[in-house]
Parts: sequence; structure tokens; C-alpha cells
Amino acid sequence: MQVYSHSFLGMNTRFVIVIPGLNQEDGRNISQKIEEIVAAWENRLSRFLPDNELNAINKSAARIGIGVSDEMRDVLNYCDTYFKRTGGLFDPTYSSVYDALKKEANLPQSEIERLHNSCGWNCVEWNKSSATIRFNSPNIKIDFGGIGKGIALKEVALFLKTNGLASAFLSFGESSIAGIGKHPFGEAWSVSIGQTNGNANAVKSLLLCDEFISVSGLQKTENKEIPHIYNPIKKCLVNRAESVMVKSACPVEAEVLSTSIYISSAPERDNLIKSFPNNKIEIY
Amino acid sequence: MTNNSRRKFIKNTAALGGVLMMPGTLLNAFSSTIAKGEKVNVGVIGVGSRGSYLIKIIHSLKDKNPYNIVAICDNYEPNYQAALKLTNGKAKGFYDYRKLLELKNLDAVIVATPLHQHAHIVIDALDAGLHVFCEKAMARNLEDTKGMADAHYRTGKILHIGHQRLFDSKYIKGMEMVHNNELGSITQIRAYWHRNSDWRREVPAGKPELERQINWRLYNEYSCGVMTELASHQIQVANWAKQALPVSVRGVGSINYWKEGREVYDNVALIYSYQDGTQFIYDSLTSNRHHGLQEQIIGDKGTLELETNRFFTENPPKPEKPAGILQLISDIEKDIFDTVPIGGASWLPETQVKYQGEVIVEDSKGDGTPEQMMAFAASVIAGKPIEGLFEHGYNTSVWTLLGQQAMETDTTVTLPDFLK
Repeated sequence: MQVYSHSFLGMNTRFVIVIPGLNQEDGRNISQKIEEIVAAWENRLSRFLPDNELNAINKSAARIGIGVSDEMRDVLNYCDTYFKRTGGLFDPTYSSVYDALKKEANLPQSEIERLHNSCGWNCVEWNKSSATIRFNSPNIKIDFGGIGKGIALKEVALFLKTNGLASAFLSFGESSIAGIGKHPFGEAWSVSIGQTNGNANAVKSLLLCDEFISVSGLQKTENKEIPHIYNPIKKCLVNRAESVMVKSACPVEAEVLSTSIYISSAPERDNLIKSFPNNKIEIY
Repeated sequence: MTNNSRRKFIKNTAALGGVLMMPGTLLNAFSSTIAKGEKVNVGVIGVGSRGSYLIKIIHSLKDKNPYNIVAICDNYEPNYQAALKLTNGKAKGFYDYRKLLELKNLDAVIVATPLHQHAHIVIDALDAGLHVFCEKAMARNLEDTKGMADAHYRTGKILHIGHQRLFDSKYIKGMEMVHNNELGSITQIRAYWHRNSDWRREVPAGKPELERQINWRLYNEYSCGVMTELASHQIQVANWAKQALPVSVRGVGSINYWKEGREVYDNVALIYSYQDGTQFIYDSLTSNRHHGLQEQIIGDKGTLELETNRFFTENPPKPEKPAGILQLISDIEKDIFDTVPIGGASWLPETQVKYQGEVIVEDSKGDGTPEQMMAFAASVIAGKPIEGLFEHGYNTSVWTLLGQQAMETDTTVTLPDFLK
């Protein structure tokens, strides 16, 4: 069977598309549109682009209330919802603390406390009905790194479905995966995860049919493992040597939940698992 | 050279051609012909900001310096004194360029006066048997520009117009890429030069009569403002890239910000059209510097951004597909259903954000001015011009002035008959 595949850089990682049964010409048209979708969301959500909507919010919301676009409203609604549903483990407002810790690993606890206490979603005034946002502290800088890939993946999946492409496999840096419809020769897409742990027992096999996977854990380079997630409850970067996989019908929820569970304590973890019963969770 | 052969030469070179790809090669060839100790005795006429800068550039050549600066000339006392100091008293000072031209030991002159003075000084210098380096643009009007060309051909002396980008390694390499079709079909060129300053120089207290002399760039009698002082550089680049000249230009300009008595436009927007349908879109303004300056050569295979030394392919390298995905693709092609081994914390390096283009030339330094001064000296010592270089400067100056004319008359302007 012919199969179209394409890879490109987006949202700081690689995005790979596999669409069975699609010819090269149609594939190029589809992949160009997918690149545009991902680029548009990256342009909207990246805190590293100086002229986008997020940076306008981060620069000004501590001084004045900012009205946001429809797309940004949806993202902020996700943040508000998941902040509450995860008991504050998902909180996109601590990038000032994260940046300070990345810059100075031995930052004094008093300085961490000072920065930490001036951040937090509780210090954000998000008005859903008027779609305006205001920060109660100038240290608050929103970072959508914990949710952005899930949102882009959701948009791409929607685009494929609305264009009659019922079967596709998408990988966003191998940590965010979508199985759209079925494998052309099976009832679902079959994946096995956990090989990177070097532990055969860690390998988990599972099936995806219009479902998504998100994996959180330490980022690995050739030489070292890099903690990259801030725990807003414990006020530190998490360097736990384990991975969390979440399978969900919603890629945004998969992203939020895998990160939240990864940084959670045992009691918090139990609560999260109970609170999100429709997701399959593996810790390895 | 007779008038007929000159006209034929200009007409032939109007199509430009391969010679304009050659300055880098010629630069090397000429530079290597300068024997150690061989010197060009030069006088510098006009030692304001640009003229004194060129003296400093010559000094910076150190042991490779092929010049003896034997004279300087300026009728503005502070510049005159500063230049004498700059040359450590070794250069003889003149207030009148005609007296400087009478020196017996001169080989060449560098002309860096205000624009409206270029023509008569250059023509007198050529007629005096001297080779001339003249800063761009050539002249304030088309008649003077033609007069300079006539004098160049009549005397057979070198007339080198100062377009330093022709000697800048990133431009030379970039143009090689363009002409070797690495950018594909060039169908649009864009360039801009944005500054946020009034472009004024300080007039000494109590001497308002010096305003027009010092701030000559702001008055129509002496300059076309951003067109002759800035845009001419970028029009040169566009013609170089296209290896052709425009067939028409239209444009608009106005004074919409600096309304303090200047006469030249403080913002311009023009479109130069080439025979093959390529448009060169140009704008310049003096009330915002955010975008700076740039020349973008745009083809169906890639884009050059020459000022910043970058090339962007239309097909940037794709990241490798992970092994699990390659297996999946292979399985589907063979009608096999199997498990995809995939999944882990996000693929690194996470810092590889976006395709940022590629550098045109590694370790690119400077803007080509030192190399240009070396090339002029080598050309003088060899006694022959760099082929096609004068015509390049001439055509650039002509189309710069035609752009100004298009804005002033609000018409689409083509090459006038007397220049064909």
C-alpha cells in the first residue's frame, strides 16, 4: 500500500506525519497545511517570539487588563479548567521561577520562595465572559509549554478528519502521539513505549484508535538527563527517574495529565488517577 | 574612444552581463599585481565624514597600504584641519580642488564631496590626466552623470564609482549563488533602508549661513536625499542580481515626519520593473529603525538576505524520522500490521527551534570598503579599469535619478532618449 510520510520542525521538536493510502501530490498539499497549522499555533503560543499575542499578555497584563483572541481564550480556558482539576499541579504561570532555576541551579531557597510567591494561576484574573486577563504580579509570565503540543495535535487531527482522512499516525517529538482512525491492516494503531528506559519490563504495548498518547519524564541527551518541569507545589524542578504515559481521547488532557502525574506526590497521584478515570495511565 | 564606440559600449554594457560577476576575481587578480612598495599618490577631495572615513580605511591597510595620501582638499575649515591632523601633516592642504589638481606628483584623486560637486571636480580631474575614485552616486542630475561618463571615455582614465558591496565577500558569494541558479528563477527583489534620525549635522553656533553647506543632504539643490545617499547602494545590488537594468520605475515620496524645513523626501516607496517582469520593491524612511536595512533576492528555490549574510532555501532540511516511524512506513508499504516502537520524553535537541537559514560566507567581515580601496589602487597601478565596473556605477546612478524623477513627476519613467 502506498503511504505518504513527512517530517518537519515545529514547537521545538520534530513532527512526523504518516498517512496510508495517500499519494505524494495530495500528501504534499496536506502536509503543507499541517505545517501552517502547527506554525500558527507556535506563533501564537510560544513565549520566545517577541511579537506574538502571548508576549503582549506577558508584557502588559500586570499593568492593564488585556482582551484576547478567540483562540487564546480557548487556551486560557483549558488552563483554568486543568489548574482546578489537577489541584494546582498544572500551572502555566511559573516560568519566571523556572528560568531563574535554569540559570542558577543553586538559587537560594529564599529567592525561589520570593519568586514563587509572586506567581501562580491564583494571581491571574481570567474573566471568561469578557475574555480578558490581568496579572496581580509583574513576575507572572505564562508558558504554554505543558499544553501547546496537545493543542496543536488536536487541531491537526481535526483538520485531517474534516478533510476526509480517516487514518493517520502523528508523532510530535515522540512524546505526543496520535493514532487517527485505524491502521490500514488492523483495528487500531499498535504502539509500544518505554524502550528508551533500557528496561524490557518497562515496555508497554497499547492500541490507539482516535486516541492520543503523551509521555512525560526527564529529557535525555547523549550525556545526561535534564529536569525540565517545575513542581509548583514543591517549588523545585523535578528530576524523578521515571516516565508517565497517558492515553486519552483528548490530546490536551493527555499532555496536562502526564506532566501533572509525573511531578505529583503519591497522594496527589492517587487523586489524579481517580479524577481522570477515562484515561489510561502507565508509570514506568 | 569615439562617441560612437562609447555609446555602443554603454549600450552593450547596459545589458550588463558576466563582467559584473567578476569583481571578486578581479580584486584578487589586481591585488596580487601590487608589488611591494608600489604606491599610488592620491589626493582626497572632500574630507567630511565619508572622505575622512576613506582616509582611515586606507590607514587601516597598514603594511598593505598602496597609497601615499599627498594632498587633501576641503573648503570647510573644521574638516580641512581634521584631515591634516589625520594625515599627520604629511598631506598638503588645499581649499580649492583646482590647485590640488595642479600637483605634479598625483596619480589619482578620491572625490567624496557633496553630491552636486562630483561632476565638475571629476571631469576636471579626468581632464587633468588623473584616475578618479568617486563616491556614489555619481551626480545630482542625469546631464552631469552623462558628462562624467563622456569625460571617462574621452580621457581613457579610470573612473571608479564607490559601491563597496561589489567588493564585499558575502555579496560576491551571494551573487555567485544567484547567477549559478541556486535561488532558481529570481522574480522579486525587495530592499529597504530604515533609520530613525533627522540626518542632520550640527551647524556651528552663530553661523546659520552654513546650514545648507553642512546639511547638503537635506536640500534638493545638492542631493536627492535617501535616493542618492542610501537607495543607490541597493539599486546597484538589484541590478547586479538581475544582470540587467530596469525598464521603468514608478514611485511616491513625501515629507511626512521631518517637517523642519528640509526639501528632500523623508520617506520613499518605489517599484523598479525589469524586462522579464521582475519587480524590485524599494522603500526607505527616516522615522523608524526597527527593520534596519536589507536586500532580499527572492527566487523559487531560495532567498538571500545579503545585509545579514543569510540564505534561506525553500526546502529546508527535514528532521530525520525516528526508527519506529520508518518501521511503520515500511510495514504499511508491505501491507503488514505490526506494533510501532515509539514514545518517550520529548525528542531532543529541543533547542533546534526553527530553520534559521544558512550563512552565505563564514567569518564575513566589514562592508567591502577596504577591499574596494585596494582594488582601485591595483587598477591605477595596472593602468586599466576593472572591466564593467564603471558602467555598473553609471547605470546605478542613472536609475537612482530616474527613481527620483518618477516620484517628483508622479509618472512611470523610462530611460530618456539622450541616454540610450
